Amino acid sequence: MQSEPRGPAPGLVEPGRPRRLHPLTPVFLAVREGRRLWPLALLALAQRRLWLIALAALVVLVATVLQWLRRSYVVEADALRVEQGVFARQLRVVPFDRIQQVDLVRKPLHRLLGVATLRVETAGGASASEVDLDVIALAEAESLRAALLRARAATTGEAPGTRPPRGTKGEAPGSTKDQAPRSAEGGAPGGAEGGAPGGAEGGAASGAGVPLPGTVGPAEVAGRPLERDLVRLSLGEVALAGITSARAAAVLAVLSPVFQLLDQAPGWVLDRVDPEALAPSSPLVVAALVPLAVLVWLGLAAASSIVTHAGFVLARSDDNLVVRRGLLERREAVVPLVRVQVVRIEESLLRRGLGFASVRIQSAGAAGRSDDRASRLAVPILRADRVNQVLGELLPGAAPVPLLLAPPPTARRRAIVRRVVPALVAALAVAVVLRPWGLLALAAVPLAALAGEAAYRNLGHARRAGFLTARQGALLRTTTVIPVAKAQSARVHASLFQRRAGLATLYVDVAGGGTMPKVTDESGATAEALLASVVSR
Amino acid sequence: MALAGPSGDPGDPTGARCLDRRVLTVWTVQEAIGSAVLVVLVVAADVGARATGLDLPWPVGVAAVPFAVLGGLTSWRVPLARYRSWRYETAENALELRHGIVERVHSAIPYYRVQYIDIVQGPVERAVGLATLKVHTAAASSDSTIPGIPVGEAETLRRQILARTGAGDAV
Repeated sequence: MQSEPRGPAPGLVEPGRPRRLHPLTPVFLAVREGRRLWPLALLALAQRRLWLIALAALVVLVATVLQWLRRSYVVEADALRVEQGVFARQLRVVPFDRIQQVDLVRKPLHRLLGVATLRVETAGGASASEVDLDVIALAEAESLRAALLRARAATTGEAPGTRPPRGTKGEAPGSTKDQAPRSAEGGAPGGAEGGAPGGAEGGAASGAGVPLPGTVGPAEVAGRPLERDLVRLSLGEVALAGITSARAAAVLAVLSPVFQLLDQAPGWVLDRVDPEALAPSSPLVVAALVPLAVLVWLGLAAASSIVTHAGFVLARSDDNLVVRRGLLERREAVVPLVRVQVVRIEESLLRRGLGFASVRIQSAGAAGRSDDRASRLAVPILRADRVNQVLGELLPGAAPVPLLLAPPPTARRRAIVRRVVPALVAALAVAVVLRPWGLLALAAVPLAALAGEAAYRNLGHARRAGFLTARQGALLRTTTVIPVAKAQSARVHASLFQRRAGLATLYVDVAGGGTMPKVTDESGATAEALLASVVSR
Repeated sequence: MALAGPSGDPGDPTGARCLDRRVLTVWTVQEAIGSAVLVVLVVAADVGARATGLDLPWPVGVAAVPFAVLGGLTSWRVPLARYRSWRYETAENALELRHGIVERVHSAIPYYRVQYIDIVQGPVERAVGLATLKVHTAAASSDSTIPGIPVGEAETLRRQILARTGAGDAV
């Protein structure tokens, strides 16, 4: 009974002494298991195999007690240390100055039993909390939280409750304090979410809001801060975004041969068609229905784009990026400019032809809220000649997109072989199985070679000032701009085939998940040099 | 080295280091268990097929032989190749790892990006006194797991890395 509450005295959490969690921990662990296993329990009950339920309960009980026995935490001189695991042991050390947020979560059962869950978050996109002490006595949890916040303030040299920690992933310490009682009352499963002040204006549906009370709050009190529009889309542009989107384009690509056929149709139809042949089942009627279907499809694509993106505005408000959009339901998302990790300029073949592009902005996720959509903003469509201007606003110093260096010529062979070999294998399989018509599948092989050539031509990278720019993709050409200061780590990968061609691929790891930025098929030496330049401060 | 770790580190922390040879045992056991499971599954499928009346042109259990041979070969050679491919180094600004047999990977994790560190020990690792060090950054995709280092060295390495993290940086 070492963790009986003794009142929130500062000395309650003694540094350097490992503590177990509350003895009621197995109950909470068992409840969690029970929630996962109830369908099985129901099944066993239906078959009147009560002994099976009893056995399962016993196993769960033993397992959870063992887990509790092997789990402890220590507040050390400069870090929180948590040990756990029955068969595989894990020791986790979280330095105080990396702590972003400390939450107390109390669900109804917690409140009934006078305990709490303490969650510690660090920067990073992991959905789960980095430390989840479930459960400890309420008094102990409060004292531990105070101790952690004090220790963090001491190591980061900031008074507690004044400013967000240097990571600024989530809330300021002050808001964390405000948040805890609210979480305690709310007791929602995502305790941290309960504390989001008002959420984005779009409400829960937006999921895109990253409202930072520390930064947005005060300004809102003084009235809306000055906003400057970066992008404002007209209804026509929004509709075009829908029509030229990948999904709509896929339909067009499939049906374009039919279109061509129908271009010649009218005269042909008038001259030769026997009215009786126009029964609903006639191929001609079907052929006439196809363009109608395409029109309807494109209309739907435009309409759905209008519903989600009508009145799209990307604006700069203080040091935040604000996106507002939506026809029926206005959605708003706010992302601090400093948290922008990567900007992607995407140009599909269709949009390139029309002189348009789209832009995606990836930012670091908020603490305790790892909604993927929250960390991504997008400009659905943008005139190509405005891309550099917007890029310069999103990442000062990054615009214009510099001239890119092409990879070495060996990369061309790699790009082609990489596509031709799988195409050849698949085509041969089809050809063998579906003789003789399957032989037509072999036509895919030269197409794959062409795709490889196109892919090679679109490869390129540039390392200029504080940015790494990488481009790839033929059908969807993507230019990725990475502020080197945001790189968490980097890797050079070289497969067996790449090594034979003297090539390697550089991956840059950034916060916020999503597609990993990479420089594909550069020479090994260039990739290594880029790696060194990306990770050196 | 610009930022020295805590004084009195056992061993020279500079230069690329290999893993502990005992990791061969860990990997061999893991590979062997995987192969054994596969062999058991194949035998079960073999026996099961016969039970349903299928007439197979080979005696019971022979189907598992190639799998057993292949499993034995991989359990023997793959850990060795993997061991030889591994180097890690606490360089001046970053933790650097080099590993991979077919796909060679060289990754660098700057110290100031480190958020927290795990030291993990599976049952086999515990039996031979080894541990796996996992360095976490704000990016989930960072490749920063060093297997097969002695427990004491893992602790030292952890302390060295955390001593060098210095002031972090905004994400």
